[in-house]
Amino acid sequence: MHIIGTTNFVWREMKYKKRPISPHLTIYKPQISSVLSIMHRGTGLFLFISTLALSWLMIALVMKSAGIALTGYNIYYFLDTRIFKFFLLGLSFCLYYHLLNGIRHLFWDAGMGLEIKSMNMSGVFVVALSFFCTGVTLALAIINRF
Amino acid sequence: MNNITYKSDLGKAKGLGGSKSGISHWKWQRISAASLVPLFIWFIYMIVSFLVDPEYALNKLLYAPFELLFFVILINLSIYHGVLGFKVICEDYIHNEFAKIITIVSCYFISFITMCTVTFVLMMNFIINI
Repeated sequence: MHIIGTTNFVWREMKYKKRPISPHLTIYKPQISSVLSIMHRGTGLFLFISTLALSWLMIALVMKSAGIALTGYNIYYFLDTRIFKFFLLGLSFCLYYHLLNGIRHLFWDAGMGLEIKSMNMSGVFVVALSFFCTGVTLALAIINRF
Repeated sequence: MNNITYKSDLGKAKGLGGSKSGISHWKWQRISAASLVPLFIWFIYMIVSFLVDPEYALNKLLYAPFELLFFVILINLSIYHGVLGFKVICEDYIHNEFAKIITIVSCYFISFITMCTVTFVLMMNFIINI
């Protein structure tokens, strides 16, 4: 009975004193695993929002080519702006990173590569490979004058 | 050996747990992820061919039947996968119950409308231009 009473007391304290609720992102020392996990979520969120935005952009473009203008703005001009190209570069990095790290997650779900050493190695490899792929994409874009 | 389950008797009796959806969310997230891997490898190939020759890639993506089908499946699956992930993020970081529900439900609405509209517009574009 005593233990139950104590738990109840702690719960009440947690509820009414507004103590920090899990996940405690700010109190841990950053490590490869945690930073990559946070990056996976961040890039996933960014990819989701930009997928929705790009879908609507594509809808507007296709409708415009069919003769129905959804907005008064010049979308073709927007596609040529530097800010959009920079956004696409960031998006491609996020895509490569999330894809490669997602494959790493799938391997973990299959029970492979869960030792700390191989986890850190595959994490560094994933980040390096996604930077490399982004560099190749940028180089291709520059070569073909985008 | 195969008959061993790790559920307690109470767990067996209560079935799918508090949310009544069991492992459905986790399972579909993995399934959509595993099917998005080859689709995105194909899409990266299309991006590269777009960078080399935009007109060729766009014509393929919008007017070649199988490429268009892959593209539509890719968009719908990735939005679906995004919805599942966004739900987890909301559940983890939004502590206000009301704000959490509003965010998740509006995410469902926006994503569903986007999926329907993208599919419809791309299919209609294919049909009128064929």
